[in-house]
Amino acid sequence: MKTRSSTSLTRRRLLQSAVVAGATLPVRSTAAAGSSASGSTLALGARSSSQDGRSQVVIGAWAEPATLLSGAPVTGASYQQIQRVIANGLVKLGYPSFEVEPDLAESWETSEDHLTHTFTLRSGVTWHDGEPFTAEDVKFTYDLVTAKEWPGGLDSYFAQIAGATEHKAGEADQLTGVEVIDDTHVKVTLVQPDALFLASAASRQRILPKHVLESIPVADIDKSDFARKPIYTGAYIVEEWKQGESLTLRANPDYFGGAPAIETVISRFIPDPATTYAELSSGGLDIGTVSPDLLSTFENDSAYTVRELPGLRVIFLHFDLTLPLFSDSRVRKAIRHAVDKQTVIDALLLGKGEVGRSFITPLAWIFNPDAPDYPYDPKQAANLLDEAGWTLGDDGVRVNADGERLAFTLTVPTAWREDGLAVQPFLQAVGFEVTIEEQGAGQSTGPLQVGEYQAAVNGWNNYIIDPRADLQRWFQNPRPADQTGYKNDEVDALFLKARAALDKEEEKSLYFQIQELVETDAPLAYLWREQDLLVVGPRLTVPETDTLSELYDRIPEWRLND
Amino acid sequence: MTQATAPSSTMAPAVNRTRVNWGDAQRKRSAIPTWRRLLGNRRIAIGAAVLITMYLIGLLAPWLSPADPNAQILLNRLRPPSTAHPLGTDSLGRDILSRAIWATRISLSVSLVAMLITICVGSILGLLAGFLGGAVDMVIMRLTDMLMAFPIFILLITIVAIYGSGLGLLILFLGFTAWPLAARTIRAEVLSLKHRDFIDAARINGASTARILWFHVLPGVLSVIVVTATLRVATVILIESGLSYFGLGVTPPTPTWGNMASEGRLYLDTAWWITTFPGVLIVITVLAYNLLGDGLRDELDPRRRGR
Amino acid sequence: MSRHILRRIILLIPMLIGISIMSYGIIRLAPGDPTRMLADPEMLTTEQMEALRVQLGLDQPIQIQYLRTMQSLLTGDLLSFKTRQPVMEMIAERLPTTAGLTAGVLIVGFSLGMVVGVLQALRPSTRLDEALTFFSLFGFAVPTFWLALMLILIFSVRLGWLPTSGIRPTNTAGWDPLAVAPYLVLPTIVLATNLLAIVARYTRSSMLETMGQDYLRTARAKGLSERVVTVRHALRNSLLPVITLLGAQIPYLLGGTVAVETIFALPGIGRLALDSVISRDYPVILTINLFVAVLVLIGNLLADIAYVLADPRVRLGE
Repeated sequence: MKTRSSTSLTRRRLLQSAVVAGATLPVRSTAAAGSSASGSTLALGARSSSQDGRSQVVIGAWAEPATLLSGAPVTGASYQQIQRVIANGLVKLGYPSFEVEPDLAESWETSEDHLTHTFTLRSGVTWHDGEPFTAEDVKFTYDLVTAKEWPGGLDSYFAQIAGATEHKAGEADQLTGVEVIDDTHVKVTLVQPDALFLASAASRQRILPKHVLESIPVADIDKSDFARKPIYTGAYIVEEWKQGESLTLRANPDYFGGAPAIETVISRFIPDPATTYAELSSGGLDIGTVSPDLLSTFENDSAYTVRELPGLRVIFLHFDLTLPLFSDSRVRKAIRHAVDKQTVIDALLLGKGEVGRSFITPLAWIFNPDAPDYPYDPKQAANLLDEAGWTLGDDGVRVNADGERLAFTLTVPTAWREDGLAVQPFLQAVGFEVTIEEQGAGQSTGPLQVGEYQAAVNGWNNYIIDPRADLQRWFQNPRPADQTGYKNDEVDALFLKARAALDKEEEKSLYFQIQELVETDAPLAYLWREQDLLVVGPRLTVPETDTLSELYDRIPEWRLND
Repeated sequence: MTQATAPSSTMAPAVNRTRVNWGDAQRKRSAIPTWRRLLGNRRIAIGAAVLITMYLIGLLAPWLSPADPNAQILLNRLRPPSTAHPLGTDSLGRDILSRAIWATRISLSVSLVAMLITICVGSILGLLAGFLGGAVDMVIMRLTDMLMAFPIFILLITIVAIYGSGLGLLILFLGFTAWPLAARTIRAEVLSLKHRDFIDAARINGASTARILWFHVLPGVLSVIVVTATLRVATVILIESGLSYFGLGVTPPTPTWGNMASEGRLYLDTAWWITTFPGVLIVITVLAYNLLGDGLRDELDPRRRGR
Repeated sequence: MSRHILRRIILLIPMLIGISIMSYGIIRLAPGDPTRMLADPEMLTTEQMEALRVQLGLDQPIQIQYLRTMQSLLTGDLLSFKTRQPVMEMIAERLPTTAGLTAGVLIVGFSLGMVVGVLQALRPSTRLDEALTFFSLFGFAVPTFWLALMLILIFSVRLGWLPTSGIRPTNTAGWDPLAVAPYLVLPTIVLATNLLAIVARYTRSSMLETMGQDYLRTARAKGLSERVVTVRHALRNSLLPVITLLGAQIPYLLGGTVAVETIFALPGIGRLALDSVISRDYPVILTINLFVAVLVLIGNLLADIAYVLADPRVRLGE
């Protein structure tokens, strides 16, 4: 629910982004240097800057994060995407398949028993302030975020590092599991094999500069200036963060991946998608995303380039499985069969979407294309409901032997209003009585948990964490913030096995089995994935990518036309 | 503490602290205008005519509405006005005319009920503060000072966001956040009546405080109450539409003018009809209430008569 | 009189305490746990959420939380739940935008409103009066967001005369008035349109009353020209009460800025308030409420004093 990406300018964006970050959402871009056909006087300032010889692009796609400090407990929207541009972890998740790729570590060796990873770091990397990056920084970072005084509890993935629990408890003054071998080699020892270590802790935690932070008390780092104007090793340097307004990034000429082409990237935080649309139209933004209804305006204008990219967010219904009604998998499967997703996509999204059939993105390397699916088939839905003892009543609503009606309340957060409203008639057509209860932006107090609702519409972004972690978060027991009450012992056992798997193929087949079992149970009803519709203004050329997150990942390759 | 010390907070121009004597009760009573005179005022006539029409539309919504306001035909999204849908369809293919008609009913009742709450609370407290004076006055006035120092809209956003905006809750919130202004206006009017002969006469005759308030003071301040109430309804309509912009107005799919206009704002450039019609209804209604309020003030306030 | 003012100032203290308790109570007594709202659901485990709750002091009884919050506020080190920045700094960073906008709106709204009101009062019940009433009320009746978007579409998108949104050119910082001014034109128009009707109405009736008063009749009877009567006497005496309207308008205006700052993507206090409400950033909401309250209370006090000083007819305590 808080996970909707802030990258598209949909009609729900305003609230959504507000929910996400309590912030601003928008998508706007560039104004800087030149003006578009309808260019306004505003662009003057920007133009003069490009006369200074500094190229500049304005994007309107990111919501305002809460902090730029990697490892802070409260990070807010768009934080992950921004981090990928300004900072580096030991490794990173590659888009779109989410396989682990080198980042600050150019390679790593994993021991036979999978308990130790020895990372070989890139040499010659410098921090944004010019200081050299070394293995000491890596050790410093891991020690820091597992320290007792570091805000928030211990990240469950860091808990796998030897000595982490003791360090967090204040019983040790550093991790035993992170050793510096020399300037370019670090050895990390885990307490048990964890196939997810690289994809989680090692990629998510960006390396922090020891020389800057060691003089600040640990408990004060999240309040320090570093959180707003950090020093990392990434392609862009944070030059200024004007709160509520914009984030200005300057190219890092010494970036180890090569100096970025565009010198200044300004991300403006625009809360209302209507404003984003206006800014894109008036040339105030160089790049942004829009809703399907607004896309045609730009499609018909040859000055703009339009990209339709596969959506990385799945919209789905989830249920409180502890309720008698939804504990019956036939009812859930009937719901999946009942909704004509393609028709909704064609009408609501003007065809700019695909039928949702999995919780993780089909582009992920662990995606199982053969897991059970429940395509639109109202007859089958009716059969399943008959079988489950729900027979059609006179008023079109089914009843069971006890005379209970097949009725439930669907909680629809404002961000998914149209999705919820679109589903309702299909469910009613097969004999459900669905009451919609809209939940406004401020009314949400975080993810709905078991006992707080009956059924709900939700969306989940697939680019924020590893797809294996996506699956764990919704299907493995126990899990934090249980939203469904789903529990399948066999699935749980497979998750543990997969996490300890020593071989990638073995791991993949275990996750295939997990998806197979989960989809047989059908705890969620996937609806659709809305495409990310990108509008690129006349000044800018961006690389071809598979997804929007990859596009933002590759900002260093963006170029201005002239 | 007299009314002179709190001049800044009253918005009703009719209350002018510099005026001390404006005739006796006799003159006031004879000043009550006839219907004929009232309707002779152009503002009142226009305002009332528009509002009566609006209320009729609201009352007759079930019969007037050509379609179910919530029936969505997704294949029929964003259609411009046509014979099938005289005002077009919205982003879910719902008939805008039908929604607008039902929204009239809801917007008008929300604003009316919220105004009644405001006016009741405001009148009672204003009467008490003004008439009793002393500690009661002091407490009530400091309370209104406090509430009026709150950024009301931010307060509203906060409570609506946190506690929800079901129809009933929203009406309560809208009603209870605005009484201080009404209380202040009415108190000021009471103060100007308080020491007049007919009140003193009643007191000497042994009438109870409640009796004096009800039979002597209330009628004297009725015109101010009516004017304040009229203008208040208009404001509530605007506040509801403002809240809708943040998704905090009456919860959809229940149509109100505010949430219809707000939902359509993304299509302002491509499907103008979605926001335009509800927007026009808001403008017309708010305008009518204001005309009516201004007209009533001119006619009911004896100080302004004959001008 | 100075005793009276002193009393008013002392009274401010319990009122501010009352306002702070109300603000805190409203947000803190609401159901739900703010850490659930703040934390990223993909990222944090239950234990981490618990640790966060302790860090933010949310595990304490509510009265203790309130007292601690007020203590930090008074010592200036109250931190935002979300950004961990001092709340005062966050507000200070947003203040220039809102102050600039509000000042512009007050100036434009009041000056135009008074002109319209005076014009109406000079020719009451004429066509001119009616037409001006109609137009000013029309501005009042148009929903803010609608007007704002229309203006953006017309003046920024179609005509390209003015910037669409933001507070200054994207690559600049600071408050160069020439750079900022074009960005404030549309937001100011939107809010001033609204204010204009209120001011005009108030001015009109105040003026009408003054012109009906005895001393003006006397002045007229003395043979002074209508023009002199109007300018020298009526205008001055009737605009004075209008000025006192100013203080009362500030909280309303700040309400209006929430929508305007959102639509025009302005980094102001109104938007900060909205963002904070939605993410349940209690310290920020509390501080903004108190900040505005102090402004309004002090503004009212000053207006009262000014009024007394300016108008000898008003006697305190009578």
